Amino acid sequence: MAGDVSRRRFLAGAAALGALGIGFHWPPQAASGEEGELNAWLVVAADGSVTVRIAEAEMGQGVTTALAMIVAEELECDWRGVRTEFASVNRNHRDGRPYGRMLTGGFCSVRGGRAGLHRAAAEARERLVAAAAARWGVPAASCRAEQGFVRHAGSGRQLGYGELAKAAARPPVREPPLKSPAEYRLLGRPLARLDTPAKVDGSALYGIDVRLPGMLYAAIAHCPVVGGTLERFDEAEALRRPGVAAIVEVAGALAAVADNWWRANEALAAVRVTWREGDNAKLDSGVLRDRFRAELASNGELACERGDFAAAMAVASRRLEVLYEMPFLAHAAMEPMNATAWVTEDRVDVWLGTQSPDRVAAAASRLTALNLDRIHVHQCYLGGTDAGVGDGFGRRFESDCAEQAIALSKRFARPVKVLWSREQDMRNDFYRPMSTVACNAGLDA
Amino acid sequence: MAEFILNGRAASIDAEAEMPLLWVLRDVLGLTGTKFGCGIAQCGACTVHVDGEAQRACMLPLAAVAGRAVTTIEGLGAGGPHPVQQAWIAEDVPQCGYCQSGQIMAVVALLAREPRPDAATVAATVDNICRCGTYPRLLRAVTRAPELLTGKAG
Ligand code: FES
Ligand code: FES
Repeated sequence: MAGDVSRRRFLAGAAALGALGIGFHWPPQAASGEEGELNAWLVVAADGSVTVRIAEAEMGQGVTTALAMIVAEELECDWRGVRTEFASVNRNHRDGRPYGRMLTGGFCSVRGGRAGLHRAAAEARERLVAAAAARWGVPAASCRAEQGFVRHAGSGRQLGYGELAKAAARPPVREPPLKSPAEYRLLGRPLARLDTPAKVDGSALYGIDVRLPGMLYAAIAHCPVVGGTLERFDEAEALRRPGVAAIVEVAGALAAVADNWWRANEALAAVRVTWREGDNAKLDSGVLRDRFRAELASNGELACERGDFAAAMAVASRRLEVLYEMPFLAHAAMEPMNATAWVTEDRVDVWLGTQSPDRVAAAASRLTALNLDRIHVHQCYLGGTDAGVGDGFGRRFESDCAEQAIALSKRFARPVKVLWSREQDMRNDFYRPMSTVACNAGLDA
Repeated sequence: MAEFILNGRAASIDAEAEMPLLWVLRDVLGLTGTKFGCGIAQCGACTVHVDGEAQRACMLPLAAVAGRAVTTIEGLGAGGPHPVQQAWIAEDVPQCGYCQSGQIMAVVALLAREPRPDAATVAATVDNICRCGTYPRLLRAVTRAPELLTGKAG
């Protein structure tokens, strides 16, 4: 079609611009049995550099650096050679859950993961020491690990971790000794974040940046009333637009599918659609406000009372009666909701930034009837999830957007990226709850 | 068909004249460093340079850049980190990082016009949204950048 850049020219152009480096491997490398892997958390390359696997979502909190510091500290490796990658969700399912529940929220990435990471890294360190001792034929106790090397005090010999990694891939050490805080070189020191360079040159891969060969792009319109569904639509005009592949229903919403997202989104606007709005159509901010105020008056719960309230109020020289009202609030992450899925007969891949990869994997399994060991969820950076909203639960705990991508990829047998417009993102949030709080106080002066 | 200079090279794009530059960059050319945040020129995540000026690519039709020079975050640091990127690294500015391509492009354009802007000028000119609230560090990096820029010149 006239508006299309030919695929060959497209690829040539993209390559010339250096744009094909997409930050993940396809096909993905085997997660376990990898050369230099000492355990599920870390891989030591032949050159001694260390890759730390991060089983948490990075959404601004700096978790890749914090967790890598813990591993590097306990491993006694050189910080300058440390890099990170996101842990494999698929492996977690197949391998007895080495990463536990893969869930990020509640401000507990470091507190929750720390003990396990110390143990895993110490265990790897002890095996590196044992491997060196075996090679030299000396007792392990006469060797020590230091900054990426195992050193033998008596002879002054040393071997780099990279030279030992292969031999160290032995049965685990049961109770590895942990370093004492007095020995720490990294923990407790402010270090530069590892992810900063990629976040200032545009190369950090967010969910929205994923690109796959033959990928289609989908824009979504949900019923403007929460809980409503699609009644009917006339797509004739939208289908005449350039690059548009289809207009379809997906889980009660409307999807326009095209060869780029802008075309999909423009096509969506050209669909004549009728929604079944349902009971919530009558609900608006005014109705909610009145309902909450009435509930507060009749049913409100006492959250806090200080002093002898009635007695003090009776004599107070000044009385304050204040009503605090918070509306439903969207998380409004900087990166609008998105997910990319590729469903084939025997395998599902989903790329997105998610706080709950387990939930996405479960949804993929349910929608495709494939076992969890066939599901691969690839964690990407999350753009501005605002994990700090209210109770700490972020928007990207949900799998709704991923489910749309999975359903569409299954239907079209091609990779599909679903991206919501900002308007759709704001209107279809799992909102921070509304609240109405009354505060009555008496002042004696 | 629109022809323009992209990151120092000739580009020729066969797409609708009204297609916003943002989607030409991201979806047609695969340059995903320029981000989508709002689509209505409000957040600044999509900021690029057109003939050296900061522009929000989400509302800039392809036709409007015909014959002009466009620079994206990928082009900015093509020959090693730009002094502003270096200042960003030195101050560890990004949190989630999503807004940062746009922030950096906006700051580079500002410093080209006004090498030592005061805080009020920065706030007024670089009005890109950062949902993580990196503004204080951003300001520190902007203060540091001119030294690096001059360092490079000298
Ligand atoms: S995406 Fe262009 S200003 Fe927000
Ligand atoms: S760093 Fe997260 S939005 Fe700015």
